[in-house]
Amino acid sequence: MITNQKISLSNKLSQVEGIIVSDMGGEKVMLSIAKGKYFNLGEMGGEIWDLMKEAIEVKQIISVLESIYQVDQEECEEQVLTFLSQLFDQELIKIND
Amino acid sequence: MKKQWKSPMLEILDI
Repeated sequence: MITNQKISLSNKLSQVEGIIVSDMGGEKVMLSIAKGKYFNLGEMGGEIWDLMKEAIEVKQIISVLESIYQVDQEECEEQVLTFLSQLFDQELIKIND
Repeated sequence: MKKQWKSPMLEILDI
């Protein structure tokens, strides 16, 4: 069941500029000096992050991931929406509707 | 052949 309503499948999302991003052993890590926080998106999160270089609809992200990974649609939607909401809460991504 | 799915997670460290 999808409980998080902050980010929806029709939202267009993109990365927020000015964040220090690096690849460490296949995992995407970020540093926000302003917030004093270090973020690790992991391997899967890094792949989702890369898809948001340009504004992209959430349902497109889901579609790309479903074509690459063995996962059913509902599980993918739920987990990706939760993850994207966390990124949004931390102001790492923005909505471009 | 499709890759194995792993749930995406965000790890946050307050520095």
